[in-house]
Amino acid sequence: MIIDDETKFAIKALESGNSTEVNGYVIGSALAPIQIRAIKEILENYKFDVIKTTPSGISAARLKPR
Amino acid sequence: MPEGSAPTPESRVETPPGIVFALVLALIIGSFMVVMPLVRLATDPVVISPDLPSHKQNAETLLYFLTFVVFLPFWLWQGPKIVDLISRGSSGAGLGALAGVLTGLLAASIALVRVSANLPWGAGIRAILLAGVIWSLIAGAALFRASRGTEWRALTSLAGQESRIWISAGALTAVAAVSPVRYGHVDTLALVLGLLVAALITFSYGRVNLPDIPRGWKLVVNAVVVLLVLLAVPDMVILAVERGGIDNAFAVNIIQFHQNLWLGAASQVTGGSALLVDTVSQYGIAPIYLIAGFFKLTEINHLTLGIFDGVLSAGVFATGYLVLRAAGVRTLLATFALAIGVVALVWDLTYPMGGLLQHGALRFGLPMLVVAFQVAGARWPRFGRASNFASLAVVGLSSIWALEAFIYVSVTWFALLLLRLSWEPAGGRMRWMLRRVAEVVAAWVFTQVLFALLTLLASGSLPDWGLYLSYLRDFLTGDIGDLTYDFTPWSRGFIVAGVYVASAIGLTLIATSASGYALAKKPAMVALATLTGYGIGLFSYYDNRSLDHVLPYVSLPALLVATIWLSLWLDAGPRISLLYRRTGLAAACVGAAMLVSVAMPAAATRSKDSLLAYVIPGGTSLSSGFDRIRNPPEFTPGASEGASLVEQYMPGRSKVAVLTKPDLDTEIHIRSDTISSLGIFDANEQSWVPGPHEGTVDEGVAELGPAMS
Repeated sequence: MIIDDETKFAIKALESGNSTEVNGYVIGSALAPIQIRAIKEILENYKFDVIKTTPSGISAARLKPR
Repeated sequence: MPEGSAPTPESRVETPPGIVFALVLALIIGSFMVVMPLVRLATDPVVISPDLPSHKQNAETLLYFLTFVVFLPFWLWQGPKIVDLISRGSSGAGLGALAGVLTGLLAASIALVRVSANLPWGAGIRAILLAGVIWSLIAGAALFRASRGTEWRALTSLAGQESRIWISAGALTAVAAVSPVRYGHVDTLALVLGLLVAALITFSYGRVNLPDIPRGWKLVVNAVVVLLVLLAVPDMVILAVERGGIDNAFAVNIIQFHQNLWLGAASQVTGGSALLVDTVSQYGIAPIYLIAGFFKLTEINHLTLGIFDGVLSAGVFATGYLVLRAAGVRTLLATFALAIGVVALVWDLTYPMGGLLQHGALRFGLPMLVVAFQVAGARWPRFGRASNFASLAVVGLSSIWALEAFIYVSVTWFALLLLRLSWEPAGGRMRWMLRRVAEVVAAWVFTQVLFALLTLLASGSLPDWGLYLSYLRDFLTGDIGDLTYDFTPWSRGFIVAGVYVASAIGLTLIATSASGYALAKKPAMVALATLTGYGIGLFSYYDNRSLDHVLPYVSLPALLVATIWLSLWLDAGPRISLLYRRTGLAAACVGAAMLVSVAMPAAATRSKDSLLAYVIPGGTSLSSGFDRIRNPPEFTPGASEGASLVEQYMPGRSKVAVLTKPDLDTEIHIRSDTISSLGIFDANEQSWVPGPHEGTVDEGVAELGPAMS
């Protein structure tokens, strides 16, 4: 999976349970609500494991079962 | 005629059409000046968020319907009756003077309010309301008094001053007509040069006779003009990311955001999805398939998408030229009109042609095919049956294009039917109309059945129109539909709307009171009817998205309509005196000079990005221009790196999971030639209307595994 810093922020906020959500958006992240929904679904079963990050902050990640 | 008796049909022929035209137009504008402020003042603004302007879209929608569906037909019905009543009464000799005075007063009141910004009463809608009420009271009282049986001596004594009154009214009308122009936007040098050219043309008219070129050479000239238009309209740069600067960065962001709304759905289709089965787009069905078909021929990216729409838009402009020629407009005038059109409606766009497909040929251009087919059928009657068949095919196609195109094509067709209805014998009009309606319904049904069968064959499922309707529901009545913009005060959109209203009035008066002339000028009348209908339909978009930068996209029909009316005016021969014809030409030339001077110098700069500039030797080569289109630079930082990661860790896959901020994900997919395994093809749009997409995304997530997903 390819993710970026916005995704990482949303993942961290959702995993911590401290995220503030308004109309499906996670405050602080530029991801759209349907993407937040997908991340929530993924986090139910998996954790994101970043394996490489480019200078621009784009990362390749794999999913690890919880 | 005794007071109160109904005018006979014969009396209509005697009524001077210019007076009826002026009075009907004045009554419509006067009605608007009263009702518009009342509707706006009575409507509560919709507040979206602190960052976005509030709006009164409901008021603007109501005003659009009141103007085109209530005021226009009502005054076209009542106006000629009032004129007939007065002209046949004892004050009839003063009718022309009365119409001139009322026209001049209305124009003066508009101009006065416009220049009153720094006066105590201001230039706002309350001032417009006051001006409208005062004019309406004066007009109502004067028309009532003039229509009474006893002579109104104060009026009839003005009969000898009619010419002077109309000269004054004409001058005031010219001032009122340009009142929406913001003079801070005018390029002085361009205006001076334009006015010099206007003076030269006006002086030469009637004095210099151009040689009549042979038919073969006319065809060559037409071909050259069409080629020039086809080259001048498409923009080769579109996303000027290499030029840097905040303005360019902002434009790239806006264009990318809007293009992704098309690219996402089209890339899903190229990846094997069927519209209304696996996926859906707010921009309809046929345009997305058309883009997907184009992407079978070339690379998928923002620039190929932009150039595709740019070329289609060029086709619409070139077709506009051919429509003018087929309607009887002379080569020089038609060429001049298209040159103005390219400068003002293409090179002066805020965003380059092909940047915002939301306003391009894919969305707005379909009715031009109906116009072209119908004018061709009128110009060359032996192709009449074929042109009708082709037009009905377009009418049918509009039912699977998109809601907007369906509306524009339907209004265009309706306007044509009204014109053709006036040519039918009175006794059989109902039957004739029912047959035409049946043809339209048959075209829709045939196209829908064919589309359903093709979708079934390709995907194994029938199309689910509920997916598209859910989009329409949310965009028309949901929260996302509230994201709209009001007219700016003194918007130039009022000039465009005025052209359509005036054209509808002129056409109706000719069709109903000078049917012999209308039949003799059939191609021009058909062109006027279809283009006016097209324009009125298209203006509904601007009524909704009333940003100033959107106006050029809905103004091509107005330019073509104005050109045809000018052509008829200039070719009227002895029916209209040389002085009046020259005055009309001068007014049109000054209008053209204003259009160009407002467009400059931005248009001159933008012209350097046109395909035409790339073809002309000395600039950027054509091959390097197309090479950039096929291998575009990175528009969103990180997109190339994201694509490299896809190739490194997920090689050979056609579907991959990319979860990044919107727009970056789309560009990563484009650069890696993949589509989303999560079913997320445009996260913004899918979030606005999530209903049709949530199940697909859930399925995509469920299929993810612990491997390199």
